Amino acid sequence: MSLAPLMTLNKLKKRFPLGGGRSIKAVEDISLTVFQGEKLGVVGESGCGKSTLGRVILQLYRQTSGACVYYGKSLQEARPRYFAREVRKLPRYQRRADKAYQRSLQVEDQARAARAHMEEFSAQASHRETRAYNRWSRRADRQAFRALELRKQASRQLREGSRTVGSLILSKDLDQVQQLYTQALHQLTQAHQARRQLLRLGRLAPAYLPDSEKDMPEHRAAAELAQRRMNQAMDSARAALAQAEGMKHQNLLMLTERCGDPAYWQKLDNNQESGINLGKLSGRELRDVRRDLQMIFQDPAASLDPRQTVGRAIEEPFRIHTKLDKAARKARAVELLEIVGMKEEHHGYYPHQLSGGQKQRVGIARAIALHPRFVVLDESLSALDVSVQAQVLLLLNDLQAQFGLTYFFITHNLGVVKHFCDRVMVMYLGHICELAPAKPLFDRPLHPYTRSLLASVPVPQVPEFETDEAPLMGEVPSAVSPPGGCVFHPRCPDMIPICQAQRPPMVEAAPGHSVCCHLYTKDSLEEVAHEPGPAL
Amino acid sequence: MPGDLVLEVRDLKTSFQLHKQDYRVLHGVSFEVARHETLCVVGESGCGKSVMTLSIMGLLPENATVQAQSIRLDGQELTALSPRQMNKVRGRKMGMIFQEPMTCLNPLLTIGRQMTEGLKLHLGLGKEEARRVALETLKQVGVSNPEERLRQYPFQLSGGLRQRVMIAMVLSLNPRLLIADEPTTALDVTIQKQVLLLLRQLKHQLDAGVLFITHDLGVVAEIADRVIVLYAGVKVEEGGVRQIFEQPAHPYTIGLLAAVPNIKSEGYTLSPIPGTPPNIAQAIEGCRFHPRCGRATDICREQAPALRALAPGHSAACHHLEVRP
Repeated sequence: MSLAPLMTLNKLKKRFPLGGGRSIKAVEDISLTVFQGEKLGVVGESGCGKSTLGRVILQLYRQTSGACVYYGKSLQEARPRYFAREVRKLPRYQRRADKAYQRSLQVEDQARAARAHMEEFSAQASHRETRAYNRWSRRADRQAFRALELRKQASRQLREGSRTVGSLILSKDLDQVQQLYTQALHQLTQAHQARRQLLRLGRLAPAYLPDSEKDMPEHRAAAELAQRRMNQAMDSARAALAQAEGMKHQNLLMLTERCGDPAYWQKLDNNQESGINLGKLSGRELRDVRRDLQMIFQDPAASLDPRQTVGRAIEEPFRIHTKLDKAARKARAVELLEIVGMKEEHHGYYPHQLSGGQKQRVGIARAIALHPRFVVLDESLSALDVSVQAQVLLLLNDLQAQFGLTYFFITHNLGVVKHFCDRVMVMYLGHICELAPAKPLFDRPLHPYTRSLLASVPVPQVPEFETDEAPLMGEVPSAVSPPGGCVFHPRCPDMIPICQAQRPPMVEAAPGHSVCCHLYTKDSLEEVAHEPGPAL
Repeated sequence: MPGDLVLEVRDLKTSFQLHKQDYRVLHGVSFEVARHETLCVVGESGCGKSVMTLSIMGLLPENATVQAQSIRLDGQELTALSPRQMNKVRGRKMGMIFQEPMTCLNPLLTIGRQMTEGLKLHLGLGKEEARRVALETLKQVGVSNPEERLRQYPFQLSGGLRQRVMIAMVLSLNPRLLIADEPTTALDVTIQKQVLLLLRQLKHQLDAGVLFITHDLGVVAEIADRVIVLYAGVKVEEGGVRQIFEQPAHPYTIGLLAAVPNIKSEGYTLSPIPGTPPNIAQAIEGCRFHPRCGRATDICREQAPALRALAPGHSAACHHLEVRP
């Protein structure tokens, strides 16, 4: 497994509004990196947000906040329109950050004044003065809070700006930065046009190859010109970007007090997205990226049109995304059918003529038709019988090896996850509980929820002794009003007082093994390390 | 002891007429359920598990024909009963728990109304008395604040609670046979575990036998006393739960056990059974499993194997039982 990130989720949030100010908090603050070529399993009970997460990643639902950054295509290659828009908006971010910061300083002064005023009263103790004292004290608190909020707003603005240009958002001559970026974008567009022309020439004269000089010299000249133009444009775009990079950490504005800190510049630089922020793409651009991002659905019967033949269903992606002619499309469809273990004759079948396993194979063929990079499998095996399920798992394994796919494997079946996935993420009520490679997770689960989940899974072995106590009592609370603090605390067998008050942070309890639980935060980590988890 | 058998089914054959053609789903299945016993029926989708339970309950649609040498419930022959007499037995002497608790409860009626209906009808209880019994059974199945639940509508309950209500509804009539058709399939694992534990406790308390239908071998290991394995409408193996899991004899049972990813095993390799389960329209000569079987020889293609006893209570229908992988 290579360790290049393919997809990064950054504080991803999805809420479904219900009206009346209430909403279903389906996905809450999920931060995660999916690496290239890995099989990431996502498990949890129904309603934990795993399917929603899969759909938000593919932008079938738009996220409420947070970012979903895809690295399968570079920003220069895709040139999404939002990029130019963001470059235009840079001064606005800077201005707003500055404004918020200046305002926060004013408010802070007011708070200080209020506090001083308050002090005057503190010595006296008459009833009236106590009331005045309280009033001023409340006002001082309020102002202090507002100042804090304004500071946060300032750094939010800076963060938004830094997504595009990193720490250059602090630059004094932002105009020049903007110019350089716009120039680079312009050059990239030209390079793209030249490339398209080159491709067109190639299609017009398929015989055109460097060695076949005899025919169409004018084509050859045009192609060379296009090639040269493209190279030139690319070179100057790169130069512009490099120049912009060179301006980093020079002439910085002190927009907040943190701006003087090199660590903060580093942080802003880290924010810079080299991938594509899927949430900001327009519908058309998203459609282009969807070539790389595919989904295999749960119900194989419902995901096929009953009035469409298998062949037509598999050819549909080619009709939308490529310019292959009819014969070529059919040839590709038949090839795909063979890859997923079906026969040429199935090309003309209707879905009702196929068994459940075969329908799912058609779903898989359609998903891999365009050689995607990232595939979301949403309970794709749950509707299949066990004997067939194992066949499809083997097929998915083969395809992954063959095409270097990355799987985001959503399921409730822990047995499948254990034997199929490289890494596993356990979710509960929209939050990540635990994220670890499959083996440590099953050998030594850390989060109490993971433990009870594993203990609940029926195992095809006759138990040695009968227990009468369920490992987890109660039911999953509503996602409309999730419990405060740690969301699992009302059902947790190991609850400690802090769990009710505070949401636990994500801690790396062992290398690569992250857990979101107060039992493993710094203070208690030492004790727990000695205590082995229950043998499973 | 025949007196202890609550259900005895001999040679059950069910077929459906569709477009003037006969499709046989069950090809002569026989089994019995004793008191305080859980018999699990395992098989993949389309093997006839649900049709079997519905045949026993007499709930199949009109185009179905049920033929059986005998279906005896608590000593009473069901095949000879008129529909009217059947109505008295159904619910009263045998109760059924279905897979989808939401679709089996009437969304327009309160839980209380639905729970007392059977009590009034079958036991002739008065309103107050029926309510009291309903409360008691709700407590028995572990429903918290039952008084409030009786006033609620099904949509106000979670999946696990609905299934508990279904169980309570069946239990309140004190039936001799409890038929549970995939009762936990629609539930999450943690809730499934709670319901399975409840069913196991109830089995000891009640004077009834349980016929439990499932496709999940993990659930079988947890709840069954005896197991029968169905494949394409034929019983291919029957035995105690330990016999089935520790010494499976039929190649289908062996294949099924190997295909389930087990979270407790290490170094597991996926070993699917090749091919797909046949659909009922397909006519298969000889052993019905032979197209997918690694042991198949000529005799399998020609002759259907009979059940052969391997050990007390353990039998399998295969021509090549001596061959062990």
